[in-house]
Amino acid sequence: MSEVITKLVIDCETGIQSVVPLTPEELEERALMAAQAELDRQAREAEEAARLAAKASAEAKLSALGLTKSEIAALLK
Amino acid sequence: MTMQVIQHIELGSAQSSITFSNIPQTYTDLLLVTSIRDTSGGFQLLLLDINGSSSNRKWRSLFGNGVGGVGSQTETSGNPANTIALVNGAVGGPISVVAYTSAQLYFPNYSGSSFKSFSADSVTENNSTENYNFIEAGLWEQNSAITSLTVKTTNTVAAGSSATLYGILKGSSGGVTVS
Repeated sequence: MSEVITKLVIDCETGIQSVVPLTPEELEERALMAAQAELDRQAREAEEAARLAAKASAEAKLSALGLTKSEIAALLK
Repeated sequence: MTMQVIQHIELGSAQSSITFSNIPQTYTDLLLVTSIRDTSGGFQLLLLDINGSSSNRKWRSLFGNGVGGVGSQTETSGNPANTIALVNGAVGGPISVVAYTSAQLYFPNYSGSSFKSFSADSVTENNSTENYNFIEAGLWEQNSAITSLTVKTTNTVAAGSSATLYGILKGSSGGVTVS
């Protein structure tokens, strides 16, 4: 049996909580959004990893040129 | 000023979203405080629907990620129009610990008859250097009063997530009472 995806709705006037299954339209919208968000997440993580790698490479090259750690830190601040 | 709890919810099981409906129109402002996590790995998106809609939104966010990454985004940056922030997901990617993101959203004059501005600030939790602090200034371009607020994440809101909706009344004496 497939999992039923639900949402929680709380009525602020009565305090009654309702667990409501998503409609087919909501399920489709959710699936599309999740798929796009996963691509965005992978892109974001890849971009961040590349930025950190470039930063580490730059620091190594500056160090090889004779800059101290504090000088490198001041330069990159 | 008086701040009162309208409703509080803590999820006993995962849900696709949390909706506060039928919000009383008797307060001056609203404050929504959340502790929230997505069930999928890595950092995920925190999203907000107003009166059931993700449309008619303008926003700008500023963020920093603790490892030198800083930037800004708007509703045209490629994220969904109802994006509020990044939130913790499950362990995976840059996330090394199960934790919840703290986010709060403020809606001044939510029952008025003009466009509604709101602000949000949030911070993720992680046991490594990469973490996100977001602040966002938003505008809901509708004249209707806000009667419902829905918070959701990219995939599913994890069990243990909580949300508290406060109503704030302007005072007349200058005193502050929290009840």
